[in-house]
Amino acid sequence: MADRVMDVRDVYKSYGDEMETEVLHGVSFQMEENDFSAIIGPSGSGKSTLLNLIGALDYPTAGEIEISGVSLGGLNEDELADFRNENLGFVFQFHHLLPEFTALENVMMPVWIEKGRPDAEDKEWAEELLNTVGLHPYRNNLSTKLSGGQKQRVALARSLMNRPGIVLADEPTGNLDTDTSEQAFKLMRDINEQLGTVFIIVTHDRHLAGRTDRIIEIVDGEITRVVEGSPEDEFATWDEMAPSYCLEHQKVRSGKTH
Amino acid sequence: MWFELKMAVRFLISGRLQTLLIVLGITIGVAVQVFLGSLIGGLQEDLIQQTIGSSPHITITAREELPRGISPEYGPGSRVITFAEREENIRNYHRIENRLEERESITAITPAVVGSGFATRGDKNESVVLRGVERGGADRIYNLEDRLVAGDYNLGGSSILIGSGLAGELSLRPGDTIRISTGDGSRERFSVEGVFDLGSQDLNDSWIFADISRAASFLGLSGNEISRVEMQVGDVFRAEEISVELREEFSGLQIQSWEETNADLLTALESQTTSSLVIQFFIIVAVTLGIASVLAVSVVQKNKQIGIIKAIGARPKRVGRIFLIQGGLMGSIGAVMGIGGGLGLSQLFVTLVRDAAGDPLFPIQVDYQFLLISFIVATVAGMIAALVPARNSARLNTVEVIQNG
Repeated sequence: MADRVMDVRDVYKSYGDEMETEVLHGVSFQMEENDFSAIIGPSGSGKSTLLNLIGALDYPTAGEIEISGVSLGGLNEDELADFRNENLGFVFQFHHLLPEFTALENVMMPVWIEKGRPDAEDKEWAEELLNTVGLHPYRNNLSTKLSGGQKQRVALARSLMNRPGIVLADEPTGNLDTDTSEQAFKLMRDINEQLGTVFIIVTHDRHLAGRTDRIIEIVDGEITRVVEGSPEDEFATWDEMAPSYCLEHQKVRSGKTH
Repeated sequence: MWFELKMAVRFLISGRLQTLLIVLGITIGVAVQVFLGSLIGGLQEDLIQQTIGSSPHITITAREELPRGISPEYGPGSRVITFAEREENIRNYHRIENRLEERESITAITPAVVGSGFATRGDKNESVVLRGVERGGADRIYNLEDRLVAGDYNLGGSSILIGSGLAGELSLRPGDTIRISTGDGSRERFSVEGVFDLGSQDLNDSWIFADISRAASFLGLSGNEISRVEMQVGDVFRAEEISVELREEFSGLQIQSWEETNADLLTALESQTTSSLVIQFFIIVAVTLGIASVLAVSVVQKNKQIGIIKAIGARPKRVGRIFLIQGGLMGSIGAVMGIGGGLGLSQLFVTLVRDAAGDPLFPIQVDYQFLLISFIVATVAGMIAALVPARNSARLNTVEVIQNG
C-alpha cells in the first residue's frame, strides 16, 4: 500500500460570527502517493472551501487535516505559510502570475520566498520545468505577454518549483479553450506519472474529472460519492442520471472512510 | 530580505507613473526643505558672524564701577566739567588668564585696557574709545589684520589703528598724527599706522586700538592693571553656558556673554528657526501623506499579487515589509534628488540674488548634518507612510483574492 500523504478527518467549516453558516459538515478522505484525483460539485457545494482547508490557507472549525504527517491545526499563520511554501503547489483558475515578472521569475517565486536569491541549481530546475511545460523559449517574457494557456502552464511549472508532494489545482482549465485545457490536463497527468506528485483538481468540469483516477463529489458540504479506478466511461453519463441510480451502478463508496 | 526588496523594486518600477509622481513630490518637498534650511542657516550664520564674528564672545570686567571722575576746567567766564566714566580695573590678570587657559572651550583670551576720550585734529573733535590691546590677542578676536583697509598692522609705541569712520571724519591717513585727550586730563599725540573696518559703523566711528601698556599708562592705570578680559569660544552658542561656569569660578568679577548683550537678536533668530522648522515639518507631513495615499492605492492595485505570494508561502509580515521598503525607497530616492535640487536652488539663489555691489546677500550655509537629517527624515517618513498600507497588505485575505481572481 502506498504512503498516505493527506488525511482529512471529519472536517467542519463555518463562516460568520452572528449568523453562522456551516459550509462543510464533516468531510473525511485520504490521499496517497501518486494520486491523481478530482473534487467535483456544483457551485456553493463547499468544494472551494475544502480546497482552502487542504491548501493550508484556512483553518477548519472542527476536525483535523494532516498533510505529509503534519497536523495543520497545530501550525500558526507563519508556520502555515512556510508549510504551503515547502509542501504544496497551487494552480489557480485565474492563472495568478505576477504581471511584473517574467515567466522564469514567476516560476522561481516559491524559491525566492523560501530562501531569497536563487542559486544556479534552482535556476536550472526552473528552466527545466519551463521546458517541461513547453515554454522555455518564452522564459524571459513578462507574464502579461503570454496567452491564457501559456500562463496556466507557467503557473503549473511554478507549483512544482519547490518539489511539493501535493499540487492543488482550482479549476485549472476553467479559463481555457478545449485545446489548451487538454494540453494543461495532459501535462498534469505526465508530471503525476513522472514525479509522483499528488494532484487534487477541483473542477465542475465533469469531462475533466472523469479522466482522473478518483472523483470525490461534494454536494451541500458533504461527500456524496467517491468513484475509484478510471471512472471516465461510467462517469461520463452521470450528468443525466439521478444520484440514486448512480449509487447502484457505479463503484461508489461512502466518503466517510473510517 | 532579498525577496521583499526584489518585490518592492519591481512593484515600484511597474507602477512607473505613480512612482515617478510621488518621488517628484518628495523631491520638491525635500528640495524646498533643504533650500529653506540652508537659506535660514546662512542668513543666521551671517547675522551672527556680523554681530560677534569679530568681537569678544565673553567679556570679564570688574564688578563695580568707580564713581565718575570729575575734572573741572575753568575758562574765562565759564567752567567746563567733564565726567569721566571709569571702570574698576582687574589687577590679577595673569592668574585669571592661567585659569581660563585650562578651558578648551575658550579659543582666544586677551586682556584689554579701555578708556574714552576725544581725538582732535585741527579744529575737529571726535569722541573715541581707546582700546589698549595685545597685538596677537586682538588679532585673534577682532581679525584686525584682515580688516585693515589702509596702512599696516603696527601697534608699537605711540602707533594706533583707527576706524575707517573716524579716519573719514578727521581726514586721517596712515602716517598722520592726532591728539587724544581723556577726561582725566591726559593728552598725548599718537601716530596713525592703519585704518580698519570692523563692519559696524559705531565701531568704525569711535574705536582706536593702541598697545596695551601704552594705553594703560595713558589712561592712568598702574602696571598690572587692565580693564577687561576678552574671550572667544569655539562654539558661539555655548558662550552663555560657559559664562555661567565662569561666574561661579570668578565670583568677584562681572562676566557677560554676547548672548546676554544681544538677547533681542537671539530671540529673533529663534523665532525664525521655529517658523522655519514649522514649515519644514508641514512639508514632511504633506510628503508623508502623499506617499501614504499612493501606497494605499498600490495595495489595492496589487491585491492579486499579494494574495498569490501569500498563497505560495510568503508570511504576512514579509508582505507588509514589501510596502515598507517601497515607502522607504521612495522616501530615500526622493530625498537624494531633493537634496540635490535644494543645493541647486541654493546655488541659484547665491548666483542670482545679489546686492547692488554684485556680491551675494549672504552666504548659503550647507550643513551636512542637516542634509543627513533631511535624508533620514524623508526615508523614515516614507516608511511611516507605508505602515498602514503595509498592515492592510499583511491582513489581506488570501482566500478571497485567489478565489475572486
